[in-house]
Amino acid sequence: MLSTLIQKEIRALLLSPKFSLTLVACSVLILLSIYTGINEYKASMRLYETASQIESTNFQEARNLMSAQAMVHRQPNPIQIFSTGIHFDVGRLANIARWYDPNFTRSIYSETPVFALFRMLDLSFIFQVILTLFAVLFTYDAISGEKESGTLKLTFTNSVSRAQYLIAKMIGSSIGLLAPLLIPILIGLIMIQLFGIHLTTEDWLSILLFLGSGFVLILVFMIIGLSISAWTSKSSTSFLVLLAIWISTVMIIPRAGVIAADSMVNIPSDSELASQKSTFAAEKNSTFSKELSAIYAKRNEPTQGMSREEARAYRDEKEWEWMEEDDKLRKEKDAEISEYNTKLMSEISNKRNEKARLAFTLARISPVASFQLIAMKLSQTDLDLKTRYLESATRYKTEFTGYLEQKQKETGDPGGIRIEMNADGFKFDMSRSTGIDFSDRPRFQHPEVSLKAIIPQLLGDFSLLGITGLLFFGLSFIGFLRYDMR
Amino acid sequence: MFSTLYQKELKTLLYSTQFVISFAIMSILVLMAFAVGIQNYRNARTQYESGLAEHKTQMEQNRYWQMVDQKVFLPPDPLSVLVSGVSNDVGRKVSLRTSGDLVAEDSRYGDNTLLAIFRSFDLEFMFSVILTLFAIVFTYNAVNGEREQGTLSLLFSNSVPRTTYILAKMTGVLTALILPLLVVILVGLLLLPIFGISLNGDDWERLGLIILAGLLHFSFFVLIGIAVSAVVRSSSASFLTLLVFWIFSVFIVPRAAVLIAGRAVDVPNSDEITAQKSRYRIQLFEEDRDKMSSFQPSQTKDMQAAMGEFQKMMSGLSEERQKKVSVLSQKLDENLMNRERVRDKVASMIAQLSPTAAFTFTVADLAHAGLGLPKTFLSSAKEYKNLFDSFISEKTGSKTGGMVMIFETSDSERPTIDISEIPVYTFQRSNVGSVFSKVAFGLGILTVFNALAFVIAAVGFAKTDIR
Amino acid sequence: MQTTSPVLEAINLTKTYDYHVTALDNLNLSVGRGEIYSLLGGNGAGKTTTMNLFLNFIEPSSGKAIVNGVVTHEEPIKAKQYVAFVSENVQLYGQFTAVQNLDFFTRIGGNTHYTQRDYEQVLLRVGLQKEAHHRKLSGFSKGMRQKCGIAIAILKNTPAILLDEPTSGLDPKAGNEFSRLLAELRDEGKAILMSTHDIFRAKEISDTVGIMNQGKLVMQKSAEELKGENLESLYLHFMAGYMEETA
Repeated sequence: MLSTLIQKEIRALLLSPKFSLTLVACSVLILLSIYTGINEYKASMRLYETASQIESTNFQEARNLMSAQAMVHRQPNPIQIFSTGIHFDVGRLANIARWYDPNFTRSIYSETPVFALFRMLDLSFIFQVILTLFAVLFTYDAISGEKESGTLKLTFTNSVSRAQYLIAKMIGSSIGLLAPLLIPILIGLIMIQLFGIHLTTEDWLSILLFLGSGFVLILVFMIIGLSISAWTSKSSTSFLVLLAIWISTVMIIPRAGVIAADSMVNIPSDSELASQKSTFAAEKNSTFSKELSAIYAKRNEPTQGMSREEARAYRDEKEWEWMEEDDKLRKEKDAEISEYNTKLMSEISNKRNEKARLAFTLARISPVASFQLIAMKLSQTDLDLKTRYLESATRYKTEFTGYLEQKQKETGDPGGIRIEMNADGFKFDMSRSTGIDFSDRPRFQHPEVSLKAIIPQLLGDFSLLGITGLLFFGLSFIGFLRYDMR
Repeated sequence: MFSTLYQKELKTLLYSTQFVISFAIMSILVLMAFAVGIQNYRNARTQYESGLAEHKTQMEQNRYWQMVDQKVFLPPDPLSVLVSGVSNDVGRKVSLRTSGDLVAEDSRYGDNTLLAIFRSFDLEFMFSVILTLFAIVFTYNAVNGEREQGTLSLLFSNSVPRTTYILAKMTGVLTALILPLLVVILVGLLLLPIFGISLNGDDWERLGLIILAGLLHFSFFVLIGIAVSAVVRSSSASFLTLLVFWIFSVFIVPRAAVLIAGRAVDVPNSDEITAQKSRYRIQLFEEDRDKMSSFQPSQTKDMQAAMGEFQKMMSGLSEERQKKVSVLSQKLDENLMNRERVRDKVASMIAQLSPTAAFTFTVADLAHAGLGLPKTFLSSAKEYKNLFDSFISEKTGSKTGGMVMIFETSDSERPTIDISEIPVYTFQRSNVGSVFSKVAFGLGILTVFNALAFVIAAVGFAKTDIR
Repeated sequence: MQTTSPVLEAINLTKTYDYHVTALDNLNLSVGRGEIYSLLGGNGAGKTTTMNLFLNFIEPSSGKAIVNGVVTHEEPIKAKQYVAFVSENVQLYGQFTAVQNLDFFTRIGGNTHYTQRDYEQVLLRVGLQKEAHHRKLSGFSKGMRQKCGIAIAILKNTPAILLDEPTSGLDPKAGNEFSRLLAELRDEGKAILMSTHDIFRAKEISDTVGIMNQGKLVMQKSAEELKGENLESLYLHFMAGYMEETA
C-alpha cells in the first residue's frame, strides 16, 4: 500500500509540467554556481600564489635586515567553491613588522568592488534561496491541492490510513525532488576534477557533509510546506502563508537577527582599536624615552670631572652592562605594550563572540541561518576565519621578530640607521648590504582546522535543523489527522 | 469603457483580503528597511565619530610635526546606508603617512564580518528582491486567473476591445500597487528627518531618483507578471515561469554576468604592481645608501643643527626617489586602472541585461555607493595629502613620510604642537549632476524594459485565446 | 414571426482545427425575434463552438456568424453590442457583491444609466432574494450565480441572448424558474439561442430544436413539427444513426 502511494507521488511529480522546468532551471543554476565557484577559487588561488611568489623573491633579493619584510597571505580553501562565507570580505594579506600588530587588509571585495555589488553565486546561496523556494513550491498544494482536484476524497474511499498517506507524500516528494538534483551536482563534482582542483579526502568528506546538510535544509522546507498544506483547506491560502514563511526565514530573520545583535552590543571598530593600541604604545614609549634620558644623565654623572680619556675608558668598561640595562627596560616596555594589546584583543574578541552568539541565536530561528553556519564552518570561511588568521599572524610576528633579532646579533646589521654619539660628536651609520641569507626564516603556518575539530561544532546546527524538521512533521501529522476531507 | 475596466481592476485588488494582507506585509518590510537604515546610519555615525575622537587623542600625544600620523576617514553617508552599494566593502580609512600609494583600509564588512554573512537589509535589497517577488505574487494570475475563474468570457461577450482591457488591467494594477506603496515610502522618508537624519537638497533629489528607479523596477515586474499571465494559459504555469524569471533576473544574471565577464577581462595583478614598485623603491634606496653613509655633518658639536642637516639631505634624496618611483607607478597604475575600467564596464554592461542589475548600478551611483566610490575617496584623500604635506613642510621644512629622526635630550625643551592647526579634511560629495549621465542611462534601461513588458503584454494578449 | 430578418444567423459556419479536426461543419441556422432555438447534442458535438463563434472567441475557418446583421468576425466589437451571454457556469468576481458585479458588467455592456434600484429589481425578478443582493459572490451557490448571470443578460437589453447549457446542474425548481424567465424574455421579443442537454425542457419552451453531432446539424425541427413526436427517441436515433454511419 505504502509503496503504491509513494510510486504515485513520484510519478505525479515527475510527470508534472512544473517538474521539468524546475529541473532544468536548477541544473543550470547548480552548474553555473559550481563553474563560477571554480573560477573564483582559481582566481583567489592565483592571487595567493603570486603573492607568495613575490614574497619569497623579495626575501631572496633582500640583502639586509631593513629590506626583509615578511607578509602573511591567507590561503584559499577549495571548499569555498561551494560556500564562500566571508572569504571575500576579510583582508587577504597582513604585513609583519615589529612595531605594529598584524592586520589583514585588502579584501578582494574592497579591491574589486564590482564583485561586491552582487556578491557570489555559491552553491550555499543556491540551496538557501532557490532550492528552498522550489521545495516550498512543490509542496504547498500537496494536500490542499488534492482536495481541490477531488483526488483526496477518492483516495480515502479506500482503506488508506492518514498516517500512511502522509508518510508516502513525504517520502515520495523528497525522492522526487532530491534525486534529480544529484545529477547536476555530480556533473559539478566531475567539473571540479576536470579543472584540476586538488581535493584531499578530508575535503571530499567536507563536501559530502555540505551537500548532506543542504539536502536536509531542502527536506526541512518540504516538510514545512507539507504541514502548512495540511493545515489549510485552500491551496491559495497555503501558498500565501508559505510565501510569507519563506520570505521571513530566508530573507528577513537571518539579517534581522544579526542587525539586532549588532545594535545591542557595541564593539569598537578595527581602526578605533588600532588607535587605542597606538595611543597606549605612544604613552609607554614616551615614558620609556624619558626614563632613558634620566638614566643617561645619571650614567654621565660619574664622568664629571674625569678627563676625556678616563671618561671614554669608563664608558667602554660599562658599555656592555648599560646595553643590557637598556635592553631590559626596552623589553619590559614592549612586554607591557603587548600585554595591553593582548588584553584589549581578548576583551574585544570576548565581546565579539558574545555578539556573534547573540546574533546567531536570533538568526537560528530560521533553518537557513543554521545551514549557512554549517556551510561556512565546513569551508572554513566562518566568522572565526579572521581571528584564526590574526592569532597565527601574531604568533608568526613573535617568531619572525625573534628571528630578525637573532640575525641582527649574528650579522651586526643594525637593521636601520644607527647614530653613534660620543664626546667627539656623532656619526651616522647606515646598514650596509651584507648579503644576509634569509632562506632559514620561519615560515607562516596557516591555521588549519581539521574536520574532526569542525564536526562537533556542527552538531548543534544539525540538531536544530533536525528538530525543526521533526516539529513541522509532527505539526503536519496533527493537521492532517484533523483534516476536513470534504 | 476604459474607466469602468480600470475601476474594476482597482476594486478587485483592493477588495481582496489576500491583497490587503500581502500589501500589509510588504509595507511592514518597506518600513523595516527604513528603520534598519536609520539604525545603521546611527551606528555608523557613532563609530565614525568615536574613530575620529580616538584619532584625535592619538594625535594630541605628538610633540613633533614630523611625527604626526594623519589619517582621513570616510564619513558615513545617509544615502549609502539606505542603499549600501559597495560602501560597506570599501576601506574607510586612509593613512597619509606613507611615501607609497595611498590605501583605504578597514572596510565595514571586513571589520565587522558578522554583518557580512547575511548582508544588510537595505532599501536596495527591498526594491530588488522583496518588492519584485510581491509584484509577481500580485500579478501572476492577472489575466489567466480571470479566464480560469470564467469572468473573462463573460467580459468579452460584451463589446470590449482587447487592447482596452489589457491597458486597463496594466494601469489599474499599477495604480493599485504603486500609489499605496508610494504612501508607505513617503512615511518611510518622513522617518528620516524625524529620527534626526539631516538631508540636504541634493540628497533629496538623489533619494527621489532612487525611489523613481525603484518604482520603475517594480513596475517592470508588475507588467511582466501581467504579460506572462496573458500569454501563459494556466495560472500555476505562469507563476512558475515568473518565479524562474524572477530568480534569474534578480539573482543569477547580475551575479553570473559580473563574475564571468569580470574574470574574462585580463587585469594585471595588483600585488605584482605593488611589488614592482616596492622593489624599485628598495633598489633606489640601495643606490642612495653610499651617499647616506658617507654623510658628514659640517660640524659635530651642535647636535640639533647636525640632525637638521642630515634630515635635509635625507628628505632631498627621498624626494628624488619619490619622483622616480612615481614615474614608474604612474605608468603601471594607468595600465591597471584602464584594465579595471574595461572590466567594470564589460561586467556592468552584460549584467544590465537584467533590469535588477541596471537598477542596482543606478541606485548605487545615486547613493554615493557606486563602483566609483573607492576612487573618489582615494583621490580626495590624495588632494588632502597635498594640502597636508605643504602644511607640514611649512612647519618643518621637510616632507612627510620617509624617515623621521628626532633627537631629544633631557635638557632640551619639550616642544608641543597644536594639532588644531592641521587643515581639516572634508569629504566633498559630488552633486547629483555628476552622475547624471549614468543615472539617465540606468533609468533609460529601466524604462525600455517597462515598455518591452508593456508591448509583450499587449501583443501577447491580442493573440491569446480567451475561452 | 419569420417576416423580419433573423437576429442570429449562421451561414455555412465551419471551424476546423489543425490536423483537420472539424469542430463545426457547415452550420446553417437562424433565430428570429421572439424565438427560442435549442441546440441539443452530446459532449463535443459543436454546441459550445457555435457559441464561441457567435462571440468571436474563435475565428471561423469559413462561413460566418451574424448577429443583428453584423458579421461577428468582421466587426466583433460592434456585433457584441447586440448579444448577451450566459455561460454554463456563470462566474463573477468573488470579491464583489451581486449588485457590484451587475454594475460592472452592465457598464461594460454599455449601459450606464441603471440605478441601484434597477439592479435590485432585476435581481428580484430573476429570483435572487433580497438578503443576497449585497453579499459577496464568493459565497454564492451555482443556482444563485446563474441567476446573476441571467440578470446581467437582461440588463444588457440586447436583441439576442446566447445561453450555453444554462440549466445544467440546477435543481428542478430552479430550472423551472429559469424556463419561465426565458419564456418572458422571448415574449419581450428577444432572439434566444440556447445549447442544452435537457431534452424535455427544450421541447417544452423551444420554437425550434436542432440536434448536433460531430460538428454537424443533423436535425432541425420546429415546435409544430415536433408536436406528438418523442424528442428523446429522435435524439437517440440521430446520435445512434450517426455513429453507425461513421463506424
